[in-house]
Amino acid sequence: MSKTILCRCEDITLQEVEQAVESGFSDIESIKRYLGVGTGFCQSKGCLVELARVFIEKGKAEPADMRPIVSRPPIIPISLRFFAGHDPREEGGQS
Amino acid sequence: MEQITDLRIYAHHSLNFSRGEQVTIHFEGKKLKAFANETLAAALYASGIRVMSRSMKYHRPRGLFCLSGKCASCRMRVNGVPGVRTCRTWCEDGMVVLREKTLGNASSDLLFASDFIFRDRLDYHHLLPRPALLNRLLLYGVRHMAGMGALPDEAAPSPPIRDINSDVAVIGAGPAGCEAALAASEAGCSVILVEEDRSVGGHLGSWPEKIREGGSSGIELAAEYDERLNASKIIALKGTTAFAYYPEGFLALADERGIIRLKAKKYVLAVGGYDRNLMVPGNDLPNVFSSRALLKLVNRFGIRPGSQAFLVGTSDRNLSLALSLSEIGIRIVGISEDGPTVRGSEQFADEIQSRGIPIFFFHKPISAIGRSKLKGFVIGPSDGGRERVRIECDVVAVDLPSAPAWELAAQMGCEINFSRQAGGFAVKAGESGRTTNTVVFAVGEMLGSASSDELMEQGRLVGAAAAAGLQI
Repeated sequence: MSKTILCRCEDITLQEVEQAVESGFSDIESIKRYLGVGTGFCQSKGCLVELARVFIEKGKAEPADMRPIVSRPPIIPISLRFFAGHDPREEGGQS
Repeated sequence: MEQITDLRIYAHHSLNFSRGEQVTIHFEGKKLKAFANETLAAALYASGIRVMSRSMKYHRPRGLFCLSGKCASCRMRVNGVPGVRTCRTWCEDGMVVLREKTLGNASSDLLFASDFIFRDRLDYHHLLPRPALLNRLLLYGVRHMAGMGALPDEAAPSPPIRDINSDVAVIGAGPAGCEAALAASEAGCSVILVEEDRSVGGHLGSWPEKIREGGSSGIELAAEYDERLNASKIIALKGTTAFAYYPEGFLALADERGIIRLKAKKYVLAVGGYDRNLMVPGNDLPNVFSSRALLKLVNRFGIRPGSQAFLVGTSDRNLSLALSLSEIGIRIVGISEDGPTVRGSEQFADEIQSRGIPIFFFHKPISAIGRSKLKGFVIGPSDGGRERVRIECDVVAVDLPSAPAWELAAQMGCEINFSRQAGGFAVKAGESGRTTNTVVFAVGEMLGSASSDELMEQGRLVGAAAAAGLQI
Protein backbone atom coordinates (compact mmCIF):
# COMPACT_ATOMS: atom_id res chain seq x y z
CA MET A 1 0.00 0.00 0.00
CA SER A 2 2.78 2.36 -0.83
CA LYS A 3 0.62 4.39 -3.18
CA THR A 4 -0.61 7.82 -2.21
CA ILE A 5 -3.93 8.25 -3.96
CA LEU A 6 -4.56 11.84 -5.06
CA CYS A 7 -7.68 11.11 -7.13
CA ARG A 8 -9.86 8.37 -5.65
CA CYS A 9 -12.20 8.10 -8.63
CA GLU A 10 -9.64 7.61 -11.39
CA ASP A 11 -6.97 6.01 -9.17
CA ILE A 12 -4.29 8.62 -9.88
CA THR A 13 -1.34 8.74 -7.49
CA LEU A 14 0.44 11.78 -6.10
CA GLN A 15 3.63 10.50 -7.76
CA GLU A 16 1.99 10.43 -11.19
CA VAL A 17 0.85 14.03 -10.82
CA GLU A 18 4.26 15.14 -9.56
CA GLN A 19 5.99 13.46 -12.50
CA ALA A 20 3.57 15.03 -14.96
CA VAL A 21 4.18 18.47 -13.47
CA GLU A 22 7.94 17.90 -13.57
CA SER A 23 7.73 16.77 -17.19
CA GLY A 24 6.25 20.11 -18.22
CA PHE A 25 2.49 20.10 -17.91
CA SER A 26 1.96 23.62 -16.76
CA ASP A 27 -1.69 23.95 -15.82
CA ILE A 28 -4.47 21.99 -14.18
CA GLU A 29 -6.54 21.64 -17.34
CA SER A 30 -3.74 19.91 -19.29
CA ILE A 31 -2.91 17.59 -16.37
CA LYS A 32 -6.57 16.65 -16.33
CA ARG A 33 -6.49 15.78 -20.02
CA TYR A 34 -3.25 13.81 -19.69
CA LEU A 35 -3.97 11.77 -16.57
CA GLY A 36 -7.76 11.85 -16.36
CA VAL A 37 -7.51 13.29 -12.88
CA GLY A 38 -10.71 15.12 -11.94
CA THR A 39 -12.82 13.41 -14.60
CA GLY A 40 -14.34 10.71 -12.43
CA PHE A 41 -17.56 10.34 -10.48
CA CYS A 42 -16.79 13.15 -8.06
CA GLN A 43 -15.78 15.60 -10.83
CA SER A 44 -12.67 16.87 -8.99
CA LYS A 45 -14.22 17.57 -5.59
CA GLY A 46 -11.51 15.54 -3.89
CA CYS A 47 -8.46 16.19 -6.02
CA LEU A 48 -8.60 19.72 -7.43
CA VAL A 49 -7.09 21.48 -4.43
CA GLU A 50 -4.42 18.78 -4.11
CA LEU A 51 -3.49 19.29 -7.78
CA ALA A 52 -3.15 23.02 -7.17
CA ARG A 53 -0.94 22.33 -4.17
CA VAL A 54 1.46 20.22 -6.23
CA PHE A 55 1.92 23.14 -8.65
CA ILE A 56 2.48 25.60 -5.81
CA GLU A 57 4.84 23.36 -3.85
CA LYS A 58 6.96 22.70 -6.92
CA GLY A 59 7.05 26.39 -7.71
CA LYS A 60 5.48 25.75 -11.11
CA ALA A 61 2.58 28.18 -10.77
CA GLU A 62 1.62 31.31 -8.93
CA PRO A 63 -1.62 30.86 -6.97
CA ALA A 64 -3.02 34.04 -8.52
CA ASP A 65 -2.56 32.64 -12.04
CA MET A 66 -4.17 29.27 -11.44
CA ARG A 67 -7.58 28.43 -12.77
CA PRO A 68 -9.71 25.39 -11.90
CA ILE A 69 -10.94 22.95 -14.52
CA VAL A 70 -14.13 23.99 -16.32
CA SER A 71 -17.20 23.05 -14.31
CA ARG A 72 -20.06 21.65 -16.33
CA PRO A 73 -23.48 20.36 -15.27
CA PRO A 74 -24.29 18.21 -13.44
CA ILE A 75 -22.03 18.58 -10.41
CA ILE A 76 -23.38 15.40 -8.81
CA PRO A 77 -24.51 12.18 -10.55
CA ILE A 78 -28.09 12.66 -11.80
CA SER A 79 -30.24 9.91 -13.27
CA LEU A 80 -30.43 10.32 -17.05
CA ARG A 81 -34.14 9.57 -16.98
CA PHE A 82 -34.71 12.93 -15.27
CA PHE A 83 -33.51 14.61 -18.47
CA ALA A 84 -34.81 12.16 -21.04
CA GLY A 85 -38.04 12.59 -22.96
CA HIS A 86 -38.34 16.35 -22.55
CA ASP A 87 -38.60 18.59 -25.59
CA PRO A 88 -35.99 21.33 -25.15
CA ARG A 89 -38.01 23.71 -27.37
CA GLU A 90 -41.04 23.52 -25.14
CA GLU A 91 -39.22 23.30 -21.84
CA GLY A 92 -36.19 25.44 -22.37
CA GLY A 93 -36.77 27.43 -19.22
CA GLN A 94 -36.95 30.80 -21.02
CA SER A 95 -38.72 33.43 -19.04
CA MET B 1 -16.79 -12.34 3.03
CA GLU B 2 -17.51 -9.94 5.82
CA GLN B 3 -18.93 -10.93 9.15
CA ILE B 4 -22.34 -9.32 9.58
CA THR B 5 -22.63 -7.56 12.93
CA ASP B 6 -24.53 -4.67 14.49
CA LEU B 7 -22.30 -1.79 15.51
CA ARG B 8 -25.07 0.59 16.53
CA ILE B 9 -25.03 2.22 19.93
CA TYR B 10 -28.42 1.61 21.49
CA ALA B 11 -27.75 3.15 24.90
CA HIS B 12 -25.85 6.43 24.87
CA HIS B 13 -25.78 8.39 28.11
CA SER B 14 -26.40 11.79 26.53
CA LEU B 15 -27.55 11.32 22.92
CA ASN B 16 -30.79 9.91 21.56
CA PHE B 17 -30.61 8.65 18.02
CA SER B 18 -33.87 9.05 16.15
CA ARG B 19 -33.41 6.10 13.85
CA GLY B 20 -37.04 5.83 12.86
CA GLU B 21 -38.77 2.68 11.76
CA GLN B 22 -36.78 -0.53 11.42
CA VAL B 23 -36.59 -1.84 7.86
CA THR B 24 -34.83 -4.66 6.02
CA ILE B 25 -32.48 -4.13 3.12
CA HIS B 26 -31.16 -6.85 0.82
CA PHE B 27 -27.42 -6.62 0.40
CA GLU B 28 -25.78 -9.11 -1.95
CA GLY B 29 -28.25 -11.81 -0.98
CA LYS B 30 -28.22 -11.09 2.76
CA LYS B 31 -31.00 -9.47 4.73
CA LEU B 32 -29.64 -6.63 6.81
CA LYS B 33 -31.26 -4.66 9.60
CA ALA B 34 -31.56 -0.97 8.80
CA PHE B 35 -33.57 2.06 9.87
CA ALA B 36 -35.58 4.58 7.88
CA ASN B 37 -33.49 7.51 9.19
CA GLU B 38 -30.23 5.89 8.16
CA THR B 39 -28.52 6.28 4.85
CA LEU B 40 -27.66 3.05 3.06
CA ALA B 41 -23.98 3.75 3.66
CA ALA B 42 -24.57 4.12 7.41
CA ALA B 43 -26.69 0.96 7.58
CA LEU B 44 -24.09 -1.08 5.65
CA TYR B 45 -21.28 0.26 7.80
CA ALA B 46 -23.28 -0.54 10.95
CA SER B 47 -23.60 -4.12 9.68
CA GLY B 48 -19.83 -4.45 9.40
CA ILE B 49 -19.38 -3.71 5.69
CA ARG B 50 -16.09 -1.85 5.26
CA VAL B 51 -15.26 -2.16 1.56
CA MET B 52 -17.87 -0.21 -0.38
CA SER B 53 -16.24 -0.34 -3.80
CA ARG B 54 -13.02 -1.21 -5.63
CA SER B 55 -10.89 1.44 -7.22
CA MET B 56 -10.76 1.65 -10.97
CA LYS B 57 -7.19 0.76 -11.95
CA TYR B 58 -5.59 -0.91 -8.96
CA HIS B 59 -8.71 -2.49 -7.50
CA ARG B 60 -7.87 -1.13 -4.09
CA PRO B 61 -10.54 -1.43 -1.44
CA ARG B 62 -12.45 1.80 -0.88
CA GLY B 63 -14.40 2.56 2.24
CA LEU B 64 -16.47 5.51 3.38
CA PHE B 65 -14.55 8.75 3.56
CA CYS B 66 -16.74 11.88 3.49
CA LEU B 67 -20.27 10.56 4.14
CA SER B 68 -21.64 13.63 2.42
CA GLY B 69 -21.91 12.62 -1.22
CA LYS B 70 -18.63 14.14 -2.35
CA CYS B 71 -15.97 11.40 -2.48
CA ALA B 72 -17.91 8.87 -4.60
CA SER B 73 -16.34 5.89 -2.81
CA CYS B 74 -19.69 4.56 -1.61
CA ARG B 75 -21.51 4.30 -4.92
CA MET B 76 -23.39 1.03 -5.50
CA ARG B 77 -26.18 -0.47 -7.53
CA VAL B 78 -29.47 0.25 -5.77
CA ASN B 79 -32.75 -1.29 -6.98
CA GLY B 80 -31.11 -2.00 -10.34
CA VAL B 81 -29.71 1.51 -10.86
CA PRO B 82 -25.90 1.86 -11.03
CA GLY B 83 -23.68 4.58 -9.57
CA VAL B 84 -25.95 5.52 -6.66
CA ARG B 85 -24.26 7.40 -3.82
CA THR B 86 -25.31 5.27 -0.85
CA CYS B 87 -24.39 7.99 1.67
CA ARG B 88 -27.08 10.22 0.14
CA THR B 89 -29.72 7.51 -0.21
CA TRP B 90 -32.10 6.71 2.64
CA CYS B 91 -33.02 3.18 3.62
CA GLU B 92 -36.37 1.85 2.54
CA ASP B 93 -37.81 -1.53 3.29
CA GLY B 94 -36.93 -4.11 0.64
CA MET B 95 -34.19 -2.09 -1.08
CA VAL B 96 -31.84 -4.26 -3.11
CA VAL B 97 -28.22 -3.15 -2.85
CA LEU B 98 -25.20 -4.56 -4.68
CA ARG B 99 -21.61 -3.45 -4.89
CA GLU B 100 -20.48 -2.81 -8.45
CA LYS B 101 -19.04 -6.03 -9.83
CA THR B 102 -15.39 -6.32 -10.57
CA LEU B 103 -14.03 -9.85 -10.81
CA GLY B 104 -15.32 -11.80 -7.87
CA ASN B 105 -16.83 -9.17 -5.65
CA ALA B 106 -15.73 -5.95 -4.00
CA SER B 107 -14.82 -7.56 -0.69
CA SER B 108 -12.59 -10.21 -2.28
CA ASP B 109 -11.66 -8.85 -5.67
CA LEU B 110 -9.63 -11.21 -7.85
CA LEU B 111 -7.91 -8.32 -9.60
CA PHE B 112 -6.33 -6.94 -6.44
CA ALA B 113 -2.97 -8.10 -7.87
CA SER B 114 -3.01 -5.12 -10.24
CA ASP B 115 -2.12 -3.00 -7.21
CA PHE B 116 1.14 -4.97 -6.87
CA ILE B 117 1.90 -5.59 -10.54
CA PHE B 118 1.61 -1.90 -11.30
CA ARG B 119 3.51 -0.99 -8.17
CA ASP B 120 4.63 2.33 -9.53
CA ARG B 121 1.75 3.24 -11.82
CA LEU B 122 -0.51 1.98 -14.52
CA ASP B 123 0.26 4.48 -17.23
CA TYR B 124 -1.79 3.82 -20.32
CA HIS B 125 0.06 6.50 -22.27
CA HIS B 126 3.25 4.49 -22.13
CA LEU B 127 2.09 0.93 -21.50
CA LEU B 128 1.97 -0.91 -24.84
CA PRO B 129 1.29 2.19 -26.95
CA ARG B 130 1.97 0.07 -30.06
CA PRO B 131 0.55 -1.81 -31.77
CA ALA B 132 -2.46 0.48 -31.60
CA LEU B 133 -4.92 -2.39 -31.63
CA LEU B 134 -3.35 -3.98 -28.58
CA ASN B 135 -3.46 -0.62 -26.82
CA ARG B 136 -7.14 -0.27 -27.67
CA LEU B 137 -7.78 -3.75 -26.29
CA LEU B 138 -5.84 -2.93 -23.15
CA LEU B 139 -7.80 0.26 -22.60
CA TYR B 140 -11.03 -1.62 -23.14
CA GLY B 141 -9.89 -4.21 -20.64
CA VAL B 142 -8.98 -1.64 -18.01
CA ARG B 143 -12.30 0.13 -18.41
CA HIS B 144 -14.28 -3.09 -18.50
CA MET B 145 -12.72 -4.45 -15.34
CA ALA B 146 -13.11 -1.23 -13.47
CA GLY B 147 -16.46 -2.06 -11.96
CA MET B 148 -18.06 1.15 -13.15
CA GLY B 149 -21.47 -0.47 -13.21
CA ALA B 150 -23.76 -1.76 -15.94
CA LEU B 151 -26.83 -0.07 -17.38
CA PRO B 152 -30.02 -0.16 -15.30
CA ASP B 153 -32.06 -3.35 -15.47
CA GLU B 154 -34.96 -1.59 -17.14
CA ALA B 155 -35.86 1.78 -18.58
CA ALA B 156 -37.54 3.96 -16.00
CA PRO B 157 -40.19 6.58 -16.77
CA SER B 158 -39.15 10.19 -17.15
CA PRO B 159 -40.83 12.45 -14.58
CA PRO B 160 -42.19 15.91 -15.48
CA ILE B 161 -39.99 18.92 -14.77
CA ARG B 162 -41.32 21.23 -12.07
CA ASP B 163 -40.88 25.02 -11.82
CA ILE B 164 -40.52 27.13 -8.72
CA ASN B 165 -39.78 30.85 -8.15
CA SER B 166 -38.83 33.13 -5.31
CA ASP B 167 -37.28 36.49 -4.52
CA VAL B 168 -34.29 34.89 -2.84
CA ALA B 169 -32.95 31.36 -3.23
CA VAL B 170 -30.50 30.10 -0.64
CA ILE B 171 -28.49 27.01 -1.54
CA GLY B 172 -27.25 25.04 1.46
CA ALA B 173 -28.85 24.92 4.91
CA GLY B 174 -25.81 24.89 7.15
CA PRO B 175 -25.59 27.59 9.82
CA ALA B 176 -24.72 30.32 7.26
CA GLY B 177 -27.47 29.29 4.83
CA CYS B 178 -30.15 28.99 7.52
CA GLU B 179 -29.32 32.43 8.88
CA ALA B 180 -29.27 33.96 5.40
CA ALA B 181 -32.68 32.46 4.59
CA LEU B 182 -34.18 33.65 7.88
CA ALA B 183 -32.75 37.15 7.44
CA ALA B 184 -34.08 37.46 3.88
CA SER B 185 -37.48 36.15 4.97
CA GLU B 186 -37.65 38.59 7.90
CA ALA B 187 -36.92 41.39 5.42
CA GLY B 188 -40.13 40.46 3.62
CA CYS B 189 -38.83 38.38 0.71
CA SER B 190 -40.17 35.07 -0.46
CA VAL B 191 -37.38 32.56 0.16
CA ILE B 192 -36.58 29.07 -1.04
CA LEU B 193 -33.93 27.17 0.90
CA VAL B 194 -32.38 24.13 -0.80
CA GLU B 195 -30.62 21.41 1.21
CA GLU B 196 -29.16 18.13 0.00
CA ASP B 197 -29.52 16.47 3.41
CA ARG B 198 -32.82 15.50 4.98
CA SER B 199 -32.19 17.77 7.92
CA VAL B 200 -30.99 21.35 8.28
CA GLY B 201 -28.13 22.78 10.32
CA GLY B 202 -25.36 21.07 8.38
CA HIS B 203 -22.54 19.84 10.54
CA LEU B 204 -24.10 21.34 13.68
CA GLY B 205 -26.33 18.28 13.63
CA SER B 206 -23.44 16.01 14.61
CA TRP B 207 -21.86 18.39 17.12
CA PRO B 208 -22.87 17.47 20.70
CA GLU B 209 -20.73 20.13 22.39
CA LYS B 210 -21.85 23.66 23.14
CA ILE B 211 -20.76 26.01 20.40
CA ARG B 212 -20.11 28.76 22.93
CA GLU B 213 -19.95 28.83 26.70
CA GLY B 214 -23.36 28.65 28.32
CA GLY B 215 -25.07 28.34 24.91
CA SER B 216 -26.78 25.50 23.08
CA SER B 217 -25.06 22.45 21.66
CA GLY B 218 -24.73 22.11 17.89
CA ILE B 219 -27.39 19.38 17.86
CA GLU B 220 -29.81 21.64 19.77
CA LEU B 221 -29.07 24.54 17.43
CA ALA B 222 -29.77 22.38 14.38
CA ALA B 223 -33.14 21.43 15.89
CA GLU B 224 -33.84 25.10 16.63
CA TYR B 225 -33.16 26.00 12.99
CA ASP B 226 -35.62 23.34 11.91
CA GLU B 227 -38.29 24.84 14.19
CA ARG B 228 -37.58 28.43 13.14
CA LEU B 229 -37.75 27.48 9.45
CA ASN B 230 -41.01 25.62 9.99
CA ALA B 231 -42.47 28.65 11.76
CA SER B 232 -41.39 30.97 8.94
CA LYS B 233 -42.74 31.39 5.41
CA ILE B 234 -39.54 29.93 3.95
CA ILE B 235 -40.00 26.99 1.61
CA ALA B 236 -37.31 24.55 2.70
CA LEU B 237 -36.61 21.91 0.05
CA LYS B 238 -34.82 19.15 1.94
CA GLY B 239 -33.33 16.12 0.24
CA THR B 240 -32.84 18.36 -2.81
CA THR B 241 -29.56 19.17 -4.53
CA ALA B 242 -28.73 22.13 -6.74
CA PHE B 243 -26.70 20.39 -9.43
CA ALA B 244 -26.30 23.00 -12.18
CA TYR B 245 -26.93 26.52 -13.35
CA TYR B 246 -28.09 26.79 -16.94
CA PRO B 247 -27.54 29.96 -18.94
CA GLU B 248 -31.26 30.10 -19.76
CA GLY B 249 -31.44 31.55 -16.28
CA PHE B 250 -32.32 28.88 -13.77
CA LEU B 251 -30.74 26.69 -11.15
CA ALA B 252 -31.44 23.02 -11.72
CA LEU B 253 -32.37 21.08 -8.60
CA ALA B 254 -32.91 17.36 -8.23
CA ASP B 255 -34.78 15.46 -5.57
CA GLU B 256 -35.77 11.81 -5.65
CA ARG B 257 -38.75 12.63 -7.88
CA GLY B 258 -36.94 14.50 -10.63
CA ILE B 259 -35.78 17.93 -11.71
CA ILE B 260 -36.96 21.31 -10.44
CA ARG B 261 -36.16 24.58 -12.24
CA LEU B 262 -35.56 27.31 -9.69
CA LYS B 263 -35.62 30.97 -10.70
CA ALA B 264 -34.93 33.68 -8.17
CA LYS B 265 -34.15 37.38 -8.25
CA LYS B 266 -31.15 36.84 -5.97
CA TYR B 267 -29.17 33.72 -5.20
CA VAL B 268 -27.25 33.13 -1.99
CA LEU B 269 -24.76 30.28 -2.29
CA ALA B 270 -23.90 28.68 1.05
CA VAL B 271 -22.70 25.37 -0.29
CA GLY B 272 -19.79 24.76 2.09
CA GLY B 273 -16.71 22.79 1.29
CA TYR B 274 -15.31 19.37 0.55
CA ASP B 275 -13.45 17.28 3.09
CA ARG B 276 -9.80 16.86 2.22
CA ASN B 277 -7.70 13.78 2.74
CA LEU B 278 -4.04 13.49 3.70
CA MET B 279 -1.57 13.04 0.86
CA VAL B 280 0.30 10.13 2.46
CA PRO B 281 0.64 6.46 1.44
CA GLY B 282 -2.37 4.37 2.39
CA ASN B 283 -4.61 7.45 2.51
CA ASP B 284 -7.42 5.59 0.73
CA LEU B 285 -7.64 2.64 3.16
CA PRO B 286 -11.11 1.89 4.48
CA ASN B 287 -11.63 3.45 7.93
CA VAL B 288 -9.54 6.52 7.11
CA PHE B 289 -12.31 9.10 7.50
CA SER B 290 -12.66 12.83 7.37
CA SER B 291 -13.34 14.07 10.90
CA ARG B 292 -16.69 15.48 9.87
CA ALA B 293 -17.72 12.11 8.48
CA LEU B 294 -16.75 10.37 11.69
CA LEU B 295 -18.64 12.92 13.80
CA LYS B 296 -21.70 12.20 11.68
CA LEU B 297 -21.28 8.44 11.92
CA VAL B 298 -20.89 8.53 15.69
CA ASN B 299 -23.15 11.37 16.84
CA ARG B 300 -25.91 11.36 14.25
CA PHE B 301 -26.18 7.72 13.24
CA GLY B 302 -24.88 6.28 16.52
CA ILE B 303 -22.47 3.78 15.01
CA ARG B 304 -19.26 2.55 16.61
CA PRO B 305 -16.49 2.64 13.97
CA GLY B 306 -13.76 0.62 15.72
CA SER B 307 -11.92 0.21 18.96
CA GLN B 308 -8.78 2.34 18.67
CA ALA B 309 -8.69 5.69 16.91
CA PHE B 310 -5.87 7.95 15.83
CA LEU B 311 -6.70 11.57 15.01
CA VAL B 312 -4.70 13.94 12.81
CA GLY B 313 -5.06 17.60 13.79
CA THR B 314 -6.03 19.45 16.96
CA SER B 315 -8.77 21.85 15.87
CA ASP B 316 -11.94 22.03 17.95
CA ARG B 317 -13.51 19.60 15.52
CA ASN B 318 -10.98 16.87 16.23
CA LEU B 319 -10.84 17.53 19.96
CA SER B 320 -14.63 17.29 20.11
CA LEU B 321 -14.45 14.11 18.02
CA ALA B 322 -11.94 12.66 20.50
CA LEU B 323 -14.40 13.31 23.32
CA SER B 324 -17.31 11.84 21.33
CA LEU B 325 -15.32 8.71 20.52
CA SER B 326 -14.15 8.18 24.08
CA GLU B 327 -17.76 8.61 25.28
CA ILE B 328 -18.64 5.42 23.42
CA GLY B 329 -15.65 3.49 24.67
CA ILE B 330 -13.25 3.95 21.75
CA ARG B 331 -9.67 4.36 22.90
CA ILE B 332 -7.96 7.44 21.46
CA VAL B 333 -4.44 6.18 20.89
CA GLY B 334 -3.16 9.61 19.92
CA ILE B 335 -3.70 12.96 18.28
CA SER B 336 -0.97 14.45 16.11
CA GLU B 337 -0.26 18.14 15.70
CA ASP B 338 2.28 19.65 13.30
CA GLY B 339 2.90 22.61 15.56
CA PRO B 340 3.77 23.22 19.21
CA THR B 341 0.29 23.91 20.60
CA VAL B 342 -3.31 22.77 20.37
CA ARG B 343 -5.20 24.73 17.72
CA GLY B 344 -8.62 24.30 19.33
CA SER B 345 -10.01 25.95 22.43
CA GLU B 346 -8.46 25.61 25.87
CA GLN B 347 -11.57 24.10 27.35
CA PHE B 348 -11.43 21.10 24.95
CA ALA B 349 -7.67 20.82 25.35
CA ASP B 350 -7.99 20.61 29.15
CA GLU B 351 -10.64 17.93 28.84
CA ILE B 352 -8.44 15.93 26.46
CA GLN B 353 -5.54 16.21 28.87
CA SER B 354 -7.61 15.17 31.86
CA ARG B 355 -8.64 12.01 30.03
CA GLY B 356 -5.00 11.15 29.46
CA ILE B 357 -5.23 11.24 25.64
CA PRO B 358 -1.69 11.62 24.25
CA ILE B 359 -1.04 14.51 21.86
CA PHE B 360 2.04 14.22 19.64
CA PHE B 361 3.20 17.80 19.10
CA PHE B 362 5.63 18.61 16.25
CA HIS B 363 4.54 15.42 14.48
CA LYS B 364 3.16 15.07 10.99
CA PRO B 365 1.41 12.14 9.32
CA ILE B 366 3.70 9.78 7.38
CA SER B 367 1.52 6.85 6.29
CA ALA B 368 -1.45 4.64 7.01
CA ILE B 369 -0.60 0.94 7.35
CA GLY B 370 -2.59 -2.04 6.15
CA ARG B 371 -3.47 -3.95 3.00
CA SER B 372 -7.19 -4.39 2.89
CA LYS B 373 -7.71 -3.28 6.46
CA LEU B 374 -6.32 -0.35 8.41
CA LYS B 375 -3.83 -1.65 10.97
CA GLY B 376 -2.04 1.45 12.14
CA PHE B 377 -0.69 4.89 11.46
CA VAL B 378 2.84 6.26 11.30
CA ILE B 379 3.89 9.77 12.28
CA GLY B 380 7.25 11.52 12.21
CA PRO B 381 8.80 14.83 13.24
CA SER B 382 7.37 17.86 11.44
CA ASP B 383 10.88 19.14 10.69
CA GLY B 384 11.55 16.15 8.42
CA GLY B 385 13.55 14.10 10.92
CA ARG B 386 13.80 10.36 10.37
CA GLU B 387 12.38 9.05 13.64
CA ARG B 388 9.06 7.27 13.28
CA VAL B 389 6.28 6.53 15.73
CA ARG B 390 4.09 3.62 14.71
CA ILE B 391 0.70 3.51 16.36
CA GLU B 392 -1.73 0.63 16.22
CA CYS B 393 -5.26 1.72 15.39
CA ASP B 394 -8.31 0.68 13.37
CA VAL B 395 -9.79 4.15 12.72
CA VAL B 396 -8.11 7.34 11.52
CA ALA B 397 -9.74 10.77 11.48
CA VAL B 398 -8.32 13.45 9.20
CA ASP B 399 -9.09 17.03 10.07
CA LEU B 400 -7.92 19.47 7.40
CA PRO B 401 -9.60 22.77 6.50
CA SER B 402 -12.16 21.92 3.82
CA ALA B 403 -11.73 22.83 0.16
CA PRO B 404 -14.34 25.39 -0.93
CA ALA B 405 -17.16 24.30 -3.23
CA TRP B 406 -16.90 26.56 -6.26
CA GLU B 407 -18.70 24.84 -9.12
CA LEU B 408 -22.14 26.44 -8.97
CA ALA B 409 -20.60 29.90 -8.61
CA ALA B 410 -18.42 29.20 -11.66
CA GLN B 411 -21.42 28.06 -13.69
CA MET B 412 -23.19 31.28 -12.69
CA GLY B 413 -20.34 33.26 -14.17
CA CYS B 414 -18.73 34.42 -10.93
CA GLU B 415 -14.98 34.92 -10.83
CA ILE B 416 -13.10 32.02 -9.21
CA ASN B 417 -9.59 32.38 -7.83
CA PHE B 418 -7.17 30.29 -5.86
CA SER B 419 -7.17 31.67 -2.35
CA ARG B 420 -4.82 30.51 0.39
CA GLN B 421 -7.15 31.96 2.96
CA ALA B 422 -10.14 30.03 1.64
CA GLY B 423 -8.02 26.89 1.28
CA GLY B 424 -8.46 26.32 -2.45
CA PHE B 425 -10.33 27.60 -5.46
CA ALA B 426 -13.07 29.88 -4.20
CA VAL B 427 -15.54 32.39 -5.52
CA LYS B 428 -14.31 35.96 -5.26
CA ALA B 429 -16.56 37.67 -2.74
CA GLY B 430 -16.48 41.23 -1.50
CA GLU B 431 -18.49 43.13 1.04
CA SER B 432 -21.66 41.30 2.20
CA GLY B 433 -20.76 38.27 0.12
CA ARG B 434 -21.19 40.03 -3.24
CA THR B 435 -19.65 38.12 -6.13
CA THR B 436 -18.79 39.44 -9.57
CA ASN B 437 -22.32 38.46 -10.67
CA THR B 438 -24.66 41.08 -9.18
CA VAL B 439 -27.45 38.60 -8.43
CA VAL B 440 -25.20 36.02 -6.73
CA PHE B 441 -23.99 36.19 -3.12
CA ALA B 442 -21.69 33.74 -1.37
CA VAL B 443 -21.38 32.97 2.32
CA GLY B 444 -20.12 30.37 4.77
CA GLU B 445 -17.42 27.75 4.47
CA MET B 446 -17.20 28.13 0.69
CA LEU B 447 -15.25 31.30 1.50
CA GLY B 448 -13.00 29.57 4.04
CA SER B 449 -13.20 27.86 7.41
CA ALA B 450 -14.75 29.81 10.26
CA SER B 451 -16.31 29.19 13.66
CA SER B 452 -20.03 28.42 13.84
CA ASP B 453 -20.63 31.82 15.44
CA GLU B 454 -18.85 33.60 12.59
CA LEU B 455 -20.75 31.59 9.98
CA MET B 456 -24.08 32.56 11.55
CA GLU B 457 -23.13 36.22 11.78
CA GLN B 458 -22.03 36.27 8.13
CA GLY B 459 -25.20 34.45 7.13
CA ARG B 460 -27.42 37.13 8.69
CA LEU B 461 -25.47 39.91 6.98
CA VAL B 462 -25.48 38.33 3.55
CA GLY B 463 -29.14 37.30 3.77
CA ALA B 464 -30.08 40.91 4.56
CA ALA B 465 -27.86 42.23 1.74
CA ALA B 466 -29.47 39.87 -0.78
CA ALA B 467 -32.93 40.99 0.36
CA ALA B 468 -32.09 44.68 0.19
CA GLY B 469 -33.85 46.37 -2.70
CA LEU B 470 -36.28 43.48 -3.21
CA GLN B 471 -38.83 44.41 -0.54
CA ILE B 472 -42.13 45.71 -1.67
